[in-house]
Amino acid sequence: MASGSSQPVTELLARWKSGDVSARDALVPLVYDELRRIARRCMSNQSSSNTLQPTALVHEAYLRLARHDSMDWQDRAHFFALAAQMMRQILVDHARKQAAAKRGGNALTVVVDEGSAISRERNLDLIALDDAMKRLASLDPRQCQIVELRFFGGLSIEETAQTVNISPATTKREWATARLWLYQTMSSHSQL
Amino acid sequence: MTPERWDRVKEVLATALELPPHERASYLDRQCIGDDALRSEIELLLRGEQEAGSEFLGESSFAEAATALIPIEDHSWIGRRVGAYRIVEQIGAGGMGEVYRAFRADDQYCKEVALKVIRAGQDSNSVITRFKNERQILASLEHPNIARLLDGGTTEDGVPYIAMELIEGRPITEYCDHFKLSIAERLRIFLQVSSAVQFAHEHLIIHRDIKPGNILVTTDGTPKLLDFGIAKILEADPAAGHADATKTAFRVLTPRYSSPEQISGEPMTTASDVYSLGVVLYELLTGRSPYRVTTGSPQEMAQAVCAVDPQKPSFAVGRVEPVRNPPSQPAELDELSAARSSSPERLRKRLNGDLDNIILMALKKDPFRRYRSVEQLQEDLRRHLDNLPVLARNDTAWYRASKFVNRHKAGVILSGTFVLALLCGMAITLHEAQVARRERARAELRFNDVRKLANSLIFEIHDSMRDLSGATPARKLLVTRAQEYLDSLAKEASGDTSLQRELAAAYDRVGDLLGYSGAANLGDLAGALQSYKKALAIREVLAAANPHNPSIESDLLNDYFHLSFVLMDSLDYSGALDVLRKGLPIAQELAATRSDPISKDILAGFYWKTGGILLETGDYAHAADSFRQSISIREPIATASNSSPQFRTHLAGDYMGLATALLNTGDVNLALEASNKGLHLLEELSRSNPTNATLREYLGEAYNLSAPLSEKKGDINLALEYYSDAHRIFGDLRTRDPANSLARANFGFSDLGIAHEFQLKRDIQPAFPRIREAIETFEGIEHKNRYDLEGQAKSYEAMAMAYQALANRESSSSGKAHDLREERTWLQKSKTAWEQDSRSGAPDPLAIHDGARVRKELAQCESELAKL
Repeated sequence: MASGSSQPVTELLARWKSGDVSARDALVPLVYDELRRIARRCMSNQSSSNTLQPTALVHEAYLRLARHDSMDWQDRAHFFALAAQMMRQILVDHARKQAAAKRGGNALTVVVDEGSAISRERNLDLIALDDAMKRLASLDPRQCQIVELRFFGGLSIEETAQTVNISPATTKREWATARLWLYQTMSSHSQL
Repeated sequence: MTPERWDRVKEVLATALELPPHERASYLDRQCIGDDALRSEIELLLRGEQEAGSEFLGESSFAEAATALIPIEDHSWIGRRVGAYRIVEQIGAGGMGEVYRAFRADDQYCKEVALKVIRAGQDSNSVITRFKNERQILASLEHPNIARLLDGGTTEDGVPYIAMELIEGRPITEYCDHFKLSIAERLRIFLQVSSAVQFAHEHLIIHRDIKPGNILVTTDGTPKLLDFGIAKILEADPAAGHADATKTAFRVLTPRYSSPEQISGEPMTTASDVYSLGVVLYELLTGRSPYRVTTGSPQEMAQAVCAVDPQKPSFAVGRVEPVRNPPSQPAELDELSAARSSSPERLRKRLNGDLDNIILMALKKDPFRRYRSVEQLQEDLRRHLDNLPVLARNDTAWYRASKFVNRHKAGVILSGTFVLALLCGMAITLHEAQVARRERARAELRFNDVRKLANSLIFEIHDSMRDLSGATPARKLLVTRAQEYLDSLAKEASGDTSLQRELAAAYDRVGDLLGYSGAANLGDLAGALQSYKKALAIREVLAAANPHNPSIESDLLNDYFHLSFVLMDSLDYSGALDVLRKGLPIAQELAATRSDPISKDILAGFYWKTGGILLETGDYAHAADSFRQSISIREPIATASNSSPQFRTHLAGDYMGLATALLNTGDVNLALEASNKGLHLLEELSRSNPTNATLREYLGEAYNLSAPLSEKKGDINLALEYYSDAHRIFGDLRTRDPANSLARANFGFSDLGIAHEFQLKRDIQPAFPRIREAIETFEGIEHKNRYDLEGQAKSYEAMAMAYQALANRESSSSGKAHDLREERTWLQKSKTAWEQDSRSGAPDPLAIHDGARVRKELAQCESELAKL
């Protein structure tokens, strides 16, 4: 999935920052590819203790793509925002595919070890989260972005604040209230 | 809900959250006047605070959600087409990847296969390459008890897979327990299994991963072996220098069934399969593992396999076991014996005696002391079943007392932190190490062959590292960790002299680990070179900044020395000479200013090493000069009273080097004089240090060199004596330490020497058994280096020459024809071996020369035959 552009990521990020939307479009497949690759690699180790830390993934993707340690924070912020979006897309896509496979198709005899079956029940329903976030976005796009950065991008309060350009205190409040709203939305839906 | 509404809700909610719970109610009272909907909305949301807790959208929830998802995606292979097969369902998952049931999609007849996906996280290209190499042989293994290998390839994603005959059955241990088979019945099924292994051995395939999971018994009671030779294909190639090699090495290893030599990374032989079969047999008969472990961790098990004697099977059925080991089997004795249709007491009696001894013999740590082949093991078991006496016997006391029994007693797998501590430890310079007199029962030295005798180096300091360097997976782990640590340290070290020195010393050690192992391959040598160069770079800077600092200078010399050694092993002779030339003036200065014996020894070492390299390049005249120089420097310090035996050993090396050079320049008398001096020194040293295996090795080498010299002088009987002495020494060394490849090769060479002398005496018959022993020895070496290939080629040639001698005496033409045909066969074998040798590396002048000679002999032999 190579993008036509062979421009380095830093350049693309700089262009995007100065308002060039096409640069962002060029970045998307690069970031997406890289994240997927890293995620696959982590997962192929097949050990249950090997969990996926979003920050680690994004940092790694960043390092691999940007290859430039001393980059403008603003550029990094853009990058992380993009990466968080990508991360969300990747995971939700997978979740939807998996759900589809379960519902339709032939009777599959997939051998699943008991451990993961149990934990999956406790796990977050990413599809429900995605749906809820879409609804939140129509109410408050900035809050949705904060959730995306925090949960899918793994950014701290401070980092999120810088990326979205608000104070950490405000970020905290936005995060707290968004969380509760999402929780309530998701649990009321699941009762249906 | 509208955005505006949400704004309001948010505001109140946020403030409420920041208040302590008991104040919230009154706050809401104030805020929600006239707006009950707002209040109930907020209260609803607040209720979620408790329920959601910190986990909802918390750090770990992302990780869990992601983890649960992504692996499943890979399982959607079901229904896919992979190569010529279509996947039906997953039937299992192993450490290496999933196993699917599939069928051939492009055929009329739907043959079902087991498709194994290899996801060991390695470079799939090298896996595929190795698979291609092995495929021919593996696919040709047709035996009723072996699961056929059918096919292999890669998917579009580049994931390697293997298609095998689909076997539906139970692991042998489970099968036998389920049907409560008696001891005799278990033995009979085991015999079928071992027939399969024996069959594979006859086809030159070692299984390498025999375990109950790989021995399935079908519903009709037929055992089938899976995964023959797969372990070899999957083995991470150390030379590839792959960063993940250490991880995969550990993952592939199931220490429970692995032989000691496999765990320490030594070459595997058919005896390794014998060992693994022994473990399986042990578990079949006792329901227990031969080794008691407490934690069950792989490290603990690996240690036990290498260093702990297994418990007698008849005792094992009586021992109490923590339930953990093994988890699938009953811990109670009654259950164990019931699964064998017996009672605890009867079971113990049944196993006592023959079966105890047979199993223990298969489990010997020393491969030489096990059954020599699976067939032997089988025969002993059959004899037992027929109530005939068996071969296996109790250990004799003297052998157990021998110190050399267990080579791996020192910790095989050390933890990373321990090694780092070693590495970061004191910057022990070569100087200090030589002064510190540590008792070394086995300073493992590698004198290569008679020609290379001069090119070895004594490094007492590295003994503890040597035990480490035997264990390849452990070593790889250590080296990786060490390199990581060092490179990170290097970034911070500039400007800090003592840290830099520590760093350089540590790079040295890493270089040593890589370069001084018994069978360093090219990958290791390149790594060692890199490490030494790093150390050198640091030290050169230090030396320039601190001129005339003797300890920095001796460190520097150290590096030049190591570097030249590794360069020589990498066949870069001019590079090695350059490095020595660089170091020589420094060594000279050091010896002049300090004028202590050790600095002089080091200086002499430079000349000696130079001589050794010149011998390799064939410049014998200059080599002799170099050796003479080293002798002139060393003689005074070695012959001084109270001098360290090390100086005398080095001096002996000087003499032998000189003798070798002179032998080749044709100055036989002078050569003999030098070799006699060397021999005399070594005999004396060996007498006063009888347990020192290294000295015995040198002595053996010296005999092997003195023999041809005596022969040249015409004293055949003395030559024979020397060769026999060498034969005795190397035979002994080989038995005590089967992993010593040098001792094996020299054992073979001394056999050839004996045979040669007999032939000179016109006494052909005694030559034959010697030559046969040499052939057996060389053929028995699994991973042959060039020295071994040379030996093999020479022994074939020797056999050919022996038949030629017979042919010359033979009067009848039929007898003569027979002998000549034998000669031809052996010459052809020799020719092939020489060709193999020349293919295996840079052209060796000797190989070319000898190869040509063999071809000439072959031509002559053919023409003789044609005349008859």
